[in-house]
Amino acid sequence: MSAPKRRGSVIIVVLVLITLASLLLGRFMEDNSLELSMATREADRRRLRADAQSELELALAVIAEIRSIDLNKIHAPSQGYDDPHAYAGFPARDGLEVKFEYEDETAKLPLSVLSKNDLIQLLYSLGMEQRDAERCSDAVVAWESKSYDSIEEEATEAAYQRSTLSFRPARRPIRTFEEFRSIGVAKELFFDEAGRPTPIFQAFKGCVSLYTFPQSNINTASDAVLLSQGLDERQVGLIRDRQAEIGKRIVGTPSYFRVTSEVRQLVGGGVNMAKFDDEVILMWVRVTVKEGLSKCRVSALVAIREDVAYPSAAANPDTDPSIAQKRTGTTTTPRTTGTSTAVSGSTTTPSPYLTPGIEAPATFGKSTMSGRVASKTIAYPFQILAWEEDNGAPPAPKPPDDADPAAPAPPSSSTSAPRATKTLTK
Amino acid sequence: MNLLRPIRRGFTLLEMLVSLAILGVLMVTLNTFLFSMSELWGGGRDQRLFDQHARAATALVRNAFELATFGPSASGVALKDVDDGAGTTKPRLSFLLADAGRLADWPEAPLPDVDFNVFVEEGRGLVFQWQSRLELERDKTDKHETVISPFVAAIHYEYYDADLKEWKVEDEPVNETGSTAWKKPVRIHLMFERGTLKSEKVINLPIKRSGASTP
Repeated sequence: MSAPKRRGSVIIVVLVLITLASLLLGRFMEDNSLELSMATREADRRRLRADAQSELELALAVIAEIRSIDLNKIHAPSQGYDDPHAYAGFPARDGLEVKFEYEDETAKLPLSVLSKNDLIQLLYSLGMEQRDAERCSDAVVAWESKSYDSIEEEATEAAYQRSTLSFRPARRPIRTFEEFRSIGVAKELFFDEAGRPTPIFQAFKGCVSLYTFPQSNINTASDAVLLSQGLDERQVGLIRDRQAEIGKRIVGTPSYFRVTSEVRQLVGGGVNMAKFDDEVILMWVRVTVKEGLSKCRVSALVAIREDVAYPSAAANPDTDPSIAQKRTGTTTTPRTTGTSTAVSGSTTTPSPYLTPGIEAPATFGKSTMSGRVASKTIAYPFQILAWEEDNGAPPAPKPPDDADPAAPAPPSSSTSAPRATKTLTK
Repeated sequence: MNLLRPIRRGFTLLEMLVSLAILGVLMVTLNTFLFSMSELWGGGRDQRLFDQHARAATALVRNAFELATFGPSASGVALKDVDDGAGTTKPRLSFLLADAGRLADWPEAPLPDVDFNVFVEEGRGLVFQWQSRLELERDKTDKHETVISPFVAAIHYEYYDADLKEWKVEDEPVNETGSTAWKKPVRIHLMFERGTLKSEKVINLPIKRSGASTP
């Protein structure tokens, strides 16, 4: 009748099992935690990427419909495409946060068709000294032009050939903003000694586009762009007041200009509107989708109209040796300078499609008036010229925070404020 | 009878659970510490760093291919015959970037319109060879080179055979049917090797398509 004999064997077995389990768990965590987190991130990214593409297609569909209603023109987001889900009448899927952003590339001036004087005016309006603006513009035009050589010593072919890595000017419109680092004079005015962009260069980047299109959109053009094109501050103020008159406007009159004659009527005659139009031609559509902690952002550069182009690269000397031979000689291209205007055949050609080095996009001339490409398959309304995703290479490291006494002050309202060009002496 | 039984008090259930939980936490902590120490002493660390390197190098190559494909007027990635510097030509993956960014280390200002060739050289690994189209004296100057990874032993090329409906991985690129032009592979395999450590990474060669679904 005595109580059964109890032994501690059970607890020993349990402890051994726990030890083994924790060993295995530790090893598993060590081996797989990184792999698991990467796999999870990849799966999230793929799912959200598909969502982002879907949302982008919705945005494009809404833009296409609004455009077809509004006489084949897109003027400004207030036409209704700023909220595609509201327009389409259905929400994003459950749990998904979607943000649409639109950046009108045609709010800027097409750099490839700006003449030397246009560039001088623009740089001056951005706060550059007039002498520097003239030097810089001369160097940039010489870099782009097939036959113009700069009057500035640092921007001549001979100067480029003398550099550590001997090279020649591109002789075609500028393709990237980093290219300014290679252009004599411009590199000194646009970058500081540490290679950081100056405030003027930052403002310049905001005012010019590397794409070629016929005219800029006055509805979205910045003050700096308007001022650089001869409008004064009073006229810019009138335009801004007109755009902000929400509620006070006559019924049926939108907050954007449907034709440029409306602007002329508003600001008075005598304003040169040749560089402005009333519609969006090229636009960045950025879609950010977020679900929980995961996020994906895609950006598409959408050509609303077909008359948009991007400069082609310089010819490859390996496949066309005549290019290299032509430039490697000690004799440089005879100067055609001495006046402040470039010779014919340079980038001052009035029509952007006749600009040397400009390449038409793949669909150039193939689209109908509505921009729809003829096809037996699904016809997308627009052409996407460029595509960016947030999963690309990480951005370049920022300069250290410790203040460099030689570094320029950050852009402030006093330094970056554009100024009117009417006082510019020619 | 009950009064005669000796009192043998054991642990309560709560005591057991608490002690087991504490023990479990201690064991996991100890194991993690031990594994970390063993990594510091060399065991497992090589493998992890090797994997990280392979992943990073693959991402860099993939990103370069995407930049060369999805930008405006981008020509994409192609297999081209390139002078190998020894008087012969070899097929190499080639692409053009308007701005080489951090892939290139310029002696002075960065130049635009940079042609890249990708190849593997024994003893050097995966190399990006690059040169701006604006550079002069091209015949006298060696092209610039950047070693992306010293651990890539080979590039394999993967094609899809539409007739046989199967994928084939080739050690060398193949020609287009009835042509001397090189056929663009659908994928490439980067074969990483360092001693006994091996890793294979696959990169889809991007294709530029028209329409909203560009990539």
